[in-house]
Amino acid sequence: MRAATTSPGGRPGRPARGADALLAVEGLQKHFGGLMAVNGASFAVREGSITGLIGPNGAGKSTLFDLVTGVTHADRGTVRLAGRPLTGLSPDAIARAGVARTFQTPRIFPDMSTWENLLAGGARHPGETLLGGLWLGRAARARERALQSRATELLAFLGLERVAGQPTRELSGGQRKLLSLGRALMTEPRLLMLDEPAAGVNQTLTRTLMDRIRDVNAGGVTVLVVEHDMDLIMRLCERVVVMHQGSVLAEGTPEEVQHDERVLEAYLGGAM
Amino acid sequence: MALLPFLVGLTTLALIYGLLALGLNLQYGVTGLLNFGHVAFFAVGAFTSALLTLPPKGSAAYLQADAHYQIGLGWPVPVGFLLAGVAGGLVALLIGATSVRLSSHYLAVATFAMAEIVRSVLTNEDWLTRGEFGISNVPQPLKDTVIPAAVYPYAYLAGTVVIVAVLLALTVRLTESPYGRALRSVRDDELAARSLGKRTPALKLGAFAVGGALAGFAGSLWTHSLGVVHVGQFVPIVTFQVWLAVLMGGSGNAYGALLGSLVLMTITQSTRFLGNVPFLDGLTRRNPSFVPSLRFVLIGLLLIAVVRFFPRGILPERPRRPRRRAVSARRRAQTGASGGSGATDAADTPDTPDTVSREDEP
Repeated sequence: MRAATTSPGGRPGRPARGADALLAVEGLQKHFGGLMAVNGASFAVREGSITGLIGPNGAGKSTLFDLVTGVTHADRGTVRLAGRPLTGLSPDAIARAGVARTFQTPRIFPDMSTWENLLAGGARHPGETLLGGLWLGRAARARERALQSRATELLAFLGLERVAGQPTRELSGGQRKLLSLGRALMTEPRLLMLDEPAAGVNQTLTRTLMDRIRDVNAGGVTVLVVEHDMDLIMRLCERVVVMHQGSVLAEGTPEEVQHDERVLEAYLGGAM
Repeated sequence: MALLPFLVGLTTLALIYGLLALGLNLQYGVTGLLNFGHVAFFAVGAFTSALLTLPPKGSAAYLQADAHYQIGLGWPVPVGFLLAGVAGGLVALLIGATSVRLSSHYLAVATFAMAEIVRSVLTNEDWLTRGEFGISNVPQPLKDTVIPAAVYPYAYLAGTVVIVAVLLALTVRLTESPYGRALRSVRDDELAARSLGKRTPALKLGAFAVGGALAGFAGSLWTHSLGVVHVGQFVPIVTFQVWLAVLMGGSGNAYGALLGSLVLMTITQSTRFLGNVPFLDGLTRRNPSFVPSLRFVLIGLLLIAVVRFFPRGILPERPRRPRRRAVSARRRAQTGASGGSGATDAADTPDTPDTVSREDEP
């Protein structure tokens, strides 16, 4: 079925609904020593949207990512996913709640094959417990088959079929980016958070990545993407959140944000 | 010298160390846990099995052997064996619960210290272990009653082969399962595994406990093969020898762990005969510690050679590839009904439970 191949990120039956906030961040604060990395940031990511998160270096984008995904804990403020508070949960609990992320530098499993990397992303596997793995009952085998066929689809979707059996330490930088996108999709997320997916990737592959992100979004996955490549953000996203010095400076459509005086000043003037 | 008994003893010992290596391989090779206290689980298994199976104090066998130990439950050896594994696993669970969350090198220090604590306790609790004296009449199952003493080492080897083979098969089944895959993901990048929703603390604790249980089983096999148990057997060098076996054999590969133990034990045991080499025997006469020291030099040289020529071990871990059937089914889906070659390709592959079957394709 071709439809499944072009949008394997999707959860069927979850249409993009306009104005509902899937992710709601409110008054998030985090300091490292004397440095306020994130200072009262608030914004929302609409269900079904591709939302961009931009800002000059040191604006607090990566810290914000870590706060939302539970890698670091906020001093103050809340994060909600579809109304459910995520604040204080561990990274794995947040992932199980439906938030998948990639890292700026892809964190692949280097001694495992591309194939195994993808399968390792599979969530809710009854064969992933000690006894479940030893016994490997009917439910575990069925889940494994489902994950394998999904991984097979993703290999084709991302053009990684040729390196399926290779240990991923042998992959190129671009292949690693694609793989970490695919592995995040294996968790069947509601919200996909991409940390600079195009950094250090050539033009051709950037276009491929953008197409894939759009396909995934068309399948019903909400995407939040941090990126330095302004051109990419403007073409990909329907909403953009601009951060500066740890807070949200502006929020709106790419056009609105591009013509916002404060944003221009933060980026070009630098006279704060 | 009698070559055959030597080989039988060597193989038994190598298999027991192989079991230890299997446990460490699960902890370090598969899950990435730096356990430098493996010998503690070995010791706990040995003492558990010995104390559970020794003839009770005051019994005829006790008096006949002129024994001095306090505790002996006189249970059957198979029960002792099973409970030795349980004890090894429980101690690992206990240690792991407090320290498995530590990051790599801190865990190494904690486990090393834990093993020294265990050894210290075993040395000082005389009533339990008879301290440095040890206990010398640990029962050897079926000896003299069913199996004559003359062929006993052969029978014991056969039993050991069966037990180790079963435990190897179970371990391989576990590491090739989705559970094993999750363990490897923790080893390769714990934060990435967590961000995929893996409960990494529980996964690490599970692997640590199973590794400890395997070492406990090894302890039982060892104590009944010797008929002796004393705390001096469980010194840190044992841990390091197991490490050497795992690294030499191929970290992450269970078969490698066994092979590594076999190679290592062959070398350490054969070097006993260095003193008989014509050129060296003169040196031995003048310096009795020459040969024992030379053995350590050889082991060191061996480690250097392994790291230089087999950095990933003799049998390196192989990345798991997609089964042919999954890929060819995909190819068939792409080429549509016209794809004939892919279909024959798939039909050739034997049906296994893990294979993607045609019905499950979208």
